[in-house]
Order: sequence, then structure tokens, then C-alpha cells
Amino acid sequence: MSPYTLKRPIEILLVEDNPADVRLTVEALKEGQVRHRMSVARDGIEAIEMLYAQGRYAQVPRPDIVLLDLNLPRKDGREVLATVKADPSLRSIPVIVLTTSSAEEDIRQCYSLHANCYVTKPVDMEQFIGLVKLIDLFWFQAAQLPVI
Amino acid sequence: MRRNDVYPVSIFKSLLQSAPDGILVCNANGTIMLASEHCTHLFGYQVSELVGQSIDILVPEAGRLRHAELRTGYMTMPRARPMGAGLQLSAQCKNGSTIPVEISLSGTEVDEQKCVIAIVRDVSDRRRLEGDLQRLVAELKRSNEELEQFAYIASHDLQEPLRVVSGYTQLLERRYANQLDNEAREYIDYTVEGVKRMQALINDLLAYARLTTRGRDFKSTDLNRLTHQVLLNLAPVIDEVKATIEVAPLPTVLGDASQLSQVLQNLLSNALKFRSPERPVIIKIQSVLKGDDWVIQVEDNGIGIAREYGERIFVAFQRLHTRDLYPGNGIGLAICKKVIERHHGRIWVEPAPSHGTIFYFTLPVQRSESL
Repeated sequence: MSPYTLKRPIEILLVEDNPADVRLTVEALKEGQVRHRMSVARDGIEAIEMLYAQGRYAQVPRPDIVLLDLNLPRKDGREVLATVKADPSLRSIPVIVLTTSSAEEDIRQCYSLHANCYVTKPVDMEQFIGLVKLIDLFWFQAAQLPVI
Repeated sequence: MRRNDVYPVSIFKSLLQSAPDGILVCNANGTIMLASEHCTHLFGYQVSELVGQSIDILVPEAGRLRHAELRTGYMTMPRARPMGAGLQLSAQCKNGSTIPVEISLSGTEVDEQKCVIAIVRDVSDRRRLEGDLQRLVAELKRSNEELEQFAYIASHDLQEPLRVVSGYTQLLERRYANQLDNEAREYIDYTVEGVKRMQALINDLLAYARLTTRGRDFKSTDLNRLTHQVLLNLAPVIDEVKATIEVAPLPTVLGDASQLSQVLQNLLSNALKFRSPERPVIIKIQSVLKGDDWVIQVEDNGIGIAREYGERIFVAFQRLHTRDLYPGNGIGLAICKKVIERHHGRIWVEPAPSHGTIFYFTLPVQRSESL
């Protein structure tokens, strides 16, 4: 029995610059049958604007979870993470760092910037689908999140 | 035996002429009383030009006043001062140039007069070498940083396109399986297989590169404990192939425990992997002390390695068998070699007397007795 389940689809903010990677995540969510709606930020600055629903992103809903790549144009993922976790109005949103990097330094740095979780993207599609299911299962079925 | 003072004076004269260092004897006022032939070579003065002059003419101008004070101080209590006391000294030559020198001092008495013997050695070559060494160290540090940067690129930027290739190929298979014939599915399998191997190669290369950049400081490390742990890691395989592992007592050495574990694990898993189907697997680990080194040996009774491949097997990504027969990328022994060399040891392979292979590696005996 899950203690807490969203009645509506999960709002995901995916921060990822490579369109092929974006699509792959979309497909993995579809294959994993995760009920969701997704906004995509293509760089760090766009991500921040979306999180604050600024300007042309006024209609972007507040995400339930952020899937954050690290190496991004303009403002990289570490800076986005630092911004989110420094702002009391944003910091309760779980930020999952989802990247190809398995460098110890990146892992250490992300956790010290208060990432909620660091995940290395698997090369294998089956494993990737399994991973997004697991993220859904843990963050939206097992874990309790604060009601906004 | 003759007493020293009975030796003919000619011996001391020729000693003075042939000594490879400049030898100067000064009286209490700092006047040069005697200079060896080599002083001409060092300072450009003839011996006759030096004798009768103050020793201060050989001191760079900026330090002459201070030198005169030090000289007076030294005369009140002359103590022997050996070379290499860590002083950066220089001497001034006749043509005004200065040379880096080391100077040993000792006091003596001639005709009841106090005097000082100074032996002066030109250390220009050594100073230049020290400078070269410092530049080399800086260069090495820079190239290590570059390697680290490269490792990062390998771990992130090279893997991203790989993920895209394998991801979409697998999606193709999932979504369009019923529209594909067997041949198409086979192509997809080969593509995915290729990508996975590429990823494994990148990870191996990364692990290899990081042996140097991410190595930990050496600590006292008990090889018995490491071996025990490695055998636990390998227990499933050991059980599966019903291998007998005999471990004789091993030494405690100074090293990076995690890297030395990798060496033991790679050698043992090779011994298990390249087993012979014709006999029960027996692996022996033992050590002998040879001079300043421990020689550790891992002996198996497996399929063996032909002598001509003895060197090649330690080169990264060199394999002696097809992947179908024995899986692996050929990085294991290259890692062993790099680790052992980082520990100032050697690694090599020899055929075992009957069948199989013996891998040897050396590690220096731990110096400190307190550990």
C-alpha cells in the first residue's frame, strides 16, 4: 500500500539540452507507463525561468520533481541546483540529477549542493525504463512529499 | 704503521694539486695562505694571485661585509661544518660572474696560529639539474591534470552519444518488433552489443587512467587481509569451478590497499578464468623475501601462456583469445602492471613447471619497524 499517491499526473521539469536525450526520456516514461506531464528546459537559464514561471513561461506549472542534467549550455546543472536549493520557495522540490557522468567529483559536488538524488543514466534502454519506473515508485508512491 | 706527520710533504702537495675541489687555507684575519690548483679552474685566479689576498674577494660583493663578521665569529669558535648543510652559497670569480657552491669549513692550527680550511665545490650542474627537475615535476603535474580532464570527457561526453545509439536502437526493437524480420533483429542485437562493448572499453580506460590521478597515499597494508577479502568477492566463481586456493602467509607492505586488492583480484580471476578443463583447479599464493623486496607469486594449473606473449599480456587491450572463448577487454593485467609500478615493484609471468602459469610481482619491504 502506498502512503501517498498523486491523483493527477506528475509534473516533471526535465532539464536537458540534447533533443535526442529528451526524446529518449519521454519514451522511457511512456514505456514505463509513468503518468506525467513534462516541461523541458534546454539550458540552465531556461530552467530557472520555468521554475519561477517568469515571462513567456508564466503558464509552466510548478514541477513535482526536477530531472536535471549537469552539463548544459549557458548555466550548467550545478548552478541550477544551487539556485533551487538556496531558495526556500523552491528547495522542497526533489531534484534528481540524471546525467551520463559517473565522476566521483560530480557526485560529491551534487550532494553537497543538496541534490535529492544522483543517478547515472544507464546505456541500456531496458535499464533506463526500469530506472524511471523506480523514480516514480519511490518519489510518488513510497515517499511522502509536502503538500504545497 | 707510520704516523701521519712522517709522510713526506710531497704527498700533501700532490693531494692539494689533484683534489677535484677548491681548497683554501686562511689565517685568523681571513688572508689566503694556501690555495689548491683547482681554485684556478673555479675562480679564474692564478694560485699566486690568491695567496696573500683576503678570502672576501671570492665572496659576492653584496655579502662581503656580512661575511667578514661571520668569519670573525667563526674564528672565536671554529667548528667543522660539512658540505650540503642546506646553505645556498655562491662565490665570485675573477671575471665578476658568480657560481653556486657548497663549502665545508674546519678549523686547524699551523705554527700555533689558528687557521681555517675551506673546501669549495662548484654545484652549478646540480643546481641546473634541480631546476630541470622542478620544471619536469611541474610538467608532469600539468599532464596529469590533462589526463584527469580527459578522463572526465571520457566518462561523460563520450558516453552520451553511445546512450543515444543504444537507446534508439532498442526502442526500434521494442516498438517495431513485429515489423522486423529476424535479420533486422540480429542487426539491432549487434548494434547494441557493439555499443555496450564500447561503453565497457571507455569505463576500463577511465579506470586505467585514474590509477595515477586518483591513487591514494600508501599505508601499511596486510596482504593476508586483502587476499581474504578478494577470495570472498570471488567465492561464487571459486565454488562454481570447485577451485582449491592455497594461501601461504603473506607480508604487510606499504601501499594503496584498494589498488593492491585490484591486482590480487585480477590475477586470481584470471587464474580462475583461464583454467584447464583437464584437471581440478588449484591456485597457490605465496611470498618470498628477496633482498629488499617481497616477491608475491600467484600460481595456477590452467591453460598457460606461451613465453612469447609474456610482455604483450601487460599492454592495455591486448588479448590472446577471442571474446567468445574468454570474455574481457584485456585491461586487467595492464591495471596490475600500472599499480605495481606505482608501488615501485615489477610484475612478470613465467610458465609453471608442470602446467599453468605463475605471475610474480614485487613490493618493497616496509622500512619502518614500528609499523
